Amino acid sequence: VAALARRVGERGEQRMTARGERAALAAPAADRDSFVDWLVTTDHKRIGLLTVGTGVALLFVMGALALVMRAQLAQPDQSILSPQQYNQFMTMHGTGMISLVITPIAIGFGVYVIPLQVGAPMIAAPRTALLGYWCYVMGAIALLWGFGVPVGGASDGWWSYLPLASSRYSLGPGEDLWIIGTFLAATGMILLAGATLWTVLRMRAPGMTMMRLPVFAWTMVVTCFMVLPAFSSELVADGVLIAARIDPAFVNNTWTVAYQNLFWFYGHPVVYVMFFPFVGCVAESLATFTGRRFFGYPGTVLSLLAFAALSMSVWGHHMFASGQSVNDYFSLTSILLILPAGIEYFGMLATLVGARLRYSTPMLFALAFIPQFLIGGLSGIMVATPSIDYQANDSYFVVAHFHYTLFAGSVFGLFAGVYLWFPKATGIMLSERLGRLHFVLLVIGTNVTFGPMFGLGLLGMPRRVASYPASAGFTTLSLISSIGSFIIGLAMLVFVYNLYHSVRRRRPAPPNPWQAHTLEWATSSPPPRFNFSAEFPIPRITSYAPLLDQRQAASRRSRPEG
Amino acid sequence: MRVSAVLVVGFWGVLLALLTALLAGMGGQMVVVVIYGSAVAVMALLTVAVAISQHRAHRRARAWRYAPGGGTTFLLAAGALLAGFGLAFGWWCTIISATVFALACLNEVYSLRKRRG
Repeated sequence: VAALARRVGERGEQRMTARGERAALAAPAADRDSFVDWLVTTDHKRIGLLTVGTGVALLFVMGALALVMRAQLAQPDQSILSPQQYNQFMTMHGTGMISLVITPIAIGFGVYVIPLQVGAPMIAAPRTALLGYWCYVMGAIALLWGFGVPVGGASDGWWSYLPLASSRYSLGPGEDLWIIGTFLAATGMILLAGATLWTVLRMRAPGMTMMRLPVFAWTMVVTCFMVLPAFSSELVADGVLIAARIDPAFVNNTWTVAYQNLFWFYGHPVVYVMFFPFVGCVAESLATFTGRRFFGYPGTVLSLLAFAALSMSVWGHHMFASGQSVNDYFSLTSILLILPAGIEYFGMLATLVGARLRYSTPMLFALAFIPQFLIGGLSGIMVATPSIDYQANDSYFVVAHFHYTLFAGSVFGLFAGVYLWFPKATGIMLSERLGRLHFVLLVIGTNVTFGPMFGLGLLGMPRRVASYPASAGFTTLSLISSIGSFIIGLAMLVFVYNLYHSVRRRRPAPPNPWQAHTLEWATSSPPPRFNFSAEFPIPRITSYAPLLDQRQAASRRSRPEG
Repeated sequence: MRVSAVLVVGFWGVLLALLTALLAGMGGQMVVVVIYGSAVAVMALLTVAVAISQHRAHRRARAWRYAPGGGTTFLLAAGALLAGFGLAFGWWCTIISATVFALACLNEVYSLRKRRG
């Protein structure tokens, strides 16, 4: 059996080499560098960078909306925004951050990194991936266009419940543009995720078995598994909305409840789509800056698969208070999430214990992710209990919970990934000093902004309100929260300055500046058109940390015998 | 341990199927079970697709093809946006979008001919 397996492996290796050579023969050595060439590129690295870059640019737009909302709520009875404008800002901030910022950045990381990590010369279906990027961009244009129409953009929340979203109650084209935007953005993500998933499943280099995939690649596998059915559900939900826009008489109780289920079948898994890839970024950062393998690899892989399956099964907890959900089932599955999450946390902490840590900027963001996401996760388990959810529902407690998961968790994982892979993608090192300043300001800003929201929720402050009276007792905590949000804004400016400063200074990055373990670090920074070359060949893959294996083997060889 | 891609996709699909069955058993409404069941169907299709792809790869090696520039994809996405604008600004936008889709087709034919020389 072993001999047969070896023969099959050798045949596969020959075939893969032949494929690589033929691909290289048929193609130019490098793509041209003009602006238009970038926009029609089929290089996964450029598509990934375009996706992440567009997402980061939109992060600033959506963040600016949040700052205006926090300015409005800093004091009672303010009128910086009218209630209608506040609702538009809130809707666009929610939809934009989810559909146009964090999800595309998460999937964009996969588009860039996955072919490199699995040793493929390109992404599967590169033109499909590019179509995905353009659908996403067109979705963003449609959504933002809403601010330019006479009655303004959509104003009924990122969930756009019926019958409020029907043409009877939401007048003007703003809601229509919201539907078109979310439809195109979801289509784009399905195409990008499909190409990424197929790359992992069918284009791995010889020796890169499924159980030798890096942890980040596994997180992308489960993310893409979730994107395919969940985002399709969003497309169907948008179809229901279109019907309700064309004919308001279409809306009845059955379709209203069906829409809620269709929407949340997308709306909850998307939270995990915005989470898993960043867990992967954190896992890679922890393993790299401890100089170790990620602890408990098989358990982590199994827990990721279970985690993803369970997270497809919890959407009904958003409907606990509606009386239209099987509360027992959705409460059970929601609380069960703590098991795979616990295994992953165990893996992260066990990787750290006893290691000699290097506190580079990606590591700082990864370390902050651990306790901050824990706060978001545990408060999620609290509201997964229907009896608590009935109390906390529609209060600022829920706002605090999901901002701790998505901002204090995912965005910190996002920055761990940005600082980790920026040198690989650009060949330029970011400034560590400015990175640390960005980190410190972001930790302070995050906790000052979102921590008081738990208190506001417990005091009874409802979410989605444009103002509150002075007598309500929300003033102090709201003011603290608003101050925190401007500290976050300052932190983001430091990040932009870091990009500007580092690109101007151009400190070149070596192929593996962090002494990381996975295949992308075996090639040049930035990688060549087909990822690996004669100068930077794919090393022998012996585990999920092939470069660490190489270094350990070299150190064993250099050690004197006896 | 040897774990194939088909096994991973299939295993995840089975996990979803078990959770769907549990939901049905605990009193989930038909609409909820159908929505969740559709996810199981998507995973079943993906499992079959990966299995077929693996089987074909064993029988016949195919070279990876270099994909040339994707100008057509931009036109397709722009056409989709214009078609969608029909909902917001009137159906004339959707009618106009047919021109953009036609342009995408022409661009594709042109670039195919150019590649073949």
